[in-house]
Amino acid sequence: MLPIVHRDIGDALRGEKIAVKAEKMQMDRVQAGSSRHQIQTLTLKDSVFCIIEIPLVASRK
Amino acid sequence: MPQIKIDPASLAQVRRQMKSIEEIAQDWLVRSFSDNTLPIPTDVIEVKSHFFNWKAGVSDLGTYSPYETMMRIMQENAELRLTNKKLATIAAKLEKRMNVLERKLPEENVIVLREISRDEAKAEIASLFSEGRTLYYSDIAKELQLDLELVVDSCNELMNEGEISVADSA
Repeated sequence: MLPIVHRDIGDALRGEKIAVKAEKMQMDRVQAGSSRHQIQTLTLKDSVFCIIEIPLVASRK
Repeated sequence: MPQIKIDPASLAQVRRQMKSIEEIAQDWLVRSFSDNTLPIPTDVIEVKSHFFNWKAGVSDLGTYSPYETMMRIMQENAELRLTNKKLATIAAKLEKRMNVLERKLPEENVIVLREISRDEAKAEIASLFSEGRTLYYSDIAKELQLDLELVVDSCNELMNEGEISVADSA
């Protein structure tokens, strides 16, 4: 069972680590601010699926 | 300007020697072409071809004498060498720049996805967590060569079953 899936146009995701899959990916390099904080943008197209990553461990029993 | 008197006999001897040198050079050129082993400087070939063209009256350099032709070719060669040097410098700069760009490019690893059932995926994911590691969805998908959606789906089921949970560090 998948978590809450947002499908509406305009929905946004924000997170520290996001895993994605798509049929097409286009890397657009954008450098903003200082050299330490380089920003890169990526465009995903067709059958896109994104998930905010969470660290998982085996449950203590 | 002092007049130089040239002995006709000496001049004839020099001409004979020049003829002999020309024959040797021609022979050398022919051998070089036929066995394809001797290195031939480009200047020699060009001067030779221009010389014969000039003699035949079909030189693309017009009515220049062999000496003028040779000088022009030498000048042309010097210019070409200079251009070559400039191009080599540009190529070296481009290579350096390309190496920097290549290092910046994201690494692409081709993963061939395996098609397995949900239960099999769950079992494999559970056994991966039994090693006591902290894993993200992408780590699992990469390691087990599984579709990301299947991994997320299976992980959520395992979470609901109490097999795995969100790490305290999250």
